[in-house]
Amino acid sequence: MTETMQEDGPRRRISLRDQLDCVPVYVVWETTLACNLKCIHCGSRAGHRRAHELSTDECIDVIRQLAELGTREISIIGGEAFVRKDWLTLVRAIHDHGIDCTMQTGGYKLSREMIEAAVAAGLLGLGVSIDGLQPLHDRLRGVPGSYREALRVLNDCRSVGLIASVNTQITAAVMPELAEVMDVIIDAGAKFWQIQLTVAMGNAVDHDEILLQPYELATLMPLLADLHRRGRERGLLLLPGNNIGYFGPYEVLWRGPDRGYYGGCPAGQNAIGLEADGTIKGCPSLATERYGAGSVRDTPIAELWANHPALQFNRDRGTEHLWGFCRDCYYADVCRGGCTWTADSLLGRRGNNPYCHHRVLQLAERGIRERIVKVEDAPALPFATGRFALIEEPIPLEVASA
Amino acid sequence: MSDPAKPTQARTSPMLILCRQCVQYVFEGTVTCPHCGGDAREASVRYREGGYLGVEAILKIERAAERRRG
Repeated sequence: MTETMQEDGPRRRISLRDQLDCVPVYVVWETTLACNLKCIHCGSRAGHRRAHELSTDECIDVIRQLAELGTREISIIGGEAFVRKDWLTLVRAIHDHGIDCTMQTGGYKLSREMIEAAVAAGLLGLGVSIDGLQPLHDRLRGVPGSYREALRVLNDCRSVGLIASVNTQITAAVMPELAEVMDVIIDAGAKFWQIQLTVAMGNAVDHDEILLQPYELATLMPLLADLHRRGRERGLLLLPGNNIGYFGPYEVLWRGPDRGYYGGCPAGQNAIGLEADGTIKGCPSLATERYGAGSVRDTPIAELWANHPALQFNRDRGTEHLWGFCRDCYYADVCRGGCTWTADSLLGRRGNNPYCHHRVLQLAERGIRERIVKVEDAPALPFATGRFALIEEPIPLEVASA
Repeated sequence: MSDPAKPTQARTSPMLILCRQCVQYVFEGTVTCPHCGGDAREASVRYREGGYLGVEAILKIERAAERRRG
């Protein structure tokens, strides 16, 4: 499943010109939905390939079109991208079109020889998912041995000379293990560590006990700040994913000061998500039902990008869509409700995001916290959402005094 | 006439800067910081010793250059 928006390298950096001209700088591409893991938090419910995935020729034409639009990085994901027989052809085609190519993987059965071949084809970086220490990781990823394999891939990257990063999904269970996970991945050679909250989508709705409660950000964020500082001292850069935020006392630590600050959801303005059958969205993780903007098989990407309403929703930087706490937030004009995927998947509508540190702190000043309760399951489809109720309650006395 | 295959130009969000007291983000032009209540323009020891004035200067130059290019 998608763990997107990796390290903020110079080519990834979005300029004012990029923003104004809506250049699709960054593309995350599910090249197949086939997967060799069975992750219980997978939003796309990956496993089997889609019925009509793009052919090799169609994929190469997509790459050509994206290059013409100014795309600077394509991250291929799945499913598991290397399950596609032509994955190296696609890596090479991306590279040959002058676009940086990265890949996100679970790492299971990705051999050293395959990594070497990918580097030769032009792969610039590999993101490997590690969601906890062995028992937790293997349980979440649904395949015994997947943790060992992920670490082996990190070590292979180091010996091959490929930049390796680690993606970690923040679930309710992983918090106590994070410090130890950091030790392990530093030892295995990782230089970047991207943290992303598990979102209430697909399989994660079926297993909602793994979801973090919004009020738990009060514990998580100081922990991440501490890990960020300690990681830096040891050559590891902890990077916040798009749903880690927003603002609050640690924003300057992990997003600034020289690299800026959270500027709102980039979906459909500087980012594109592609599904394996050619469906285009503003972000790969968004619910297809509400954010699918047609197929690149039927219509040129430039035309969809310029005209389709499902890709336009972020471009006027408006705040009319905000509701709940986010509507009256101090940062509303910039943050605009944070990660669209997180809010929309949870509450069925974007613009109100309880997974926000600033919000948690503001509510705590009033003695209030928020928790979520599932009220509707998600259909058995990729990128399907359920429905959660947001409960506001007094902070229990024992927590407040602690 | 506009090109139908080219997106209409987008808008940008208001600019944030750091409060020079508590080092949290505030809107450009803020005098009293909504987070710490201090004078957001007055550099604190933490701000000076953290090297934030230097970063501020670099960002100003970068933004000016970007505006000129734009």
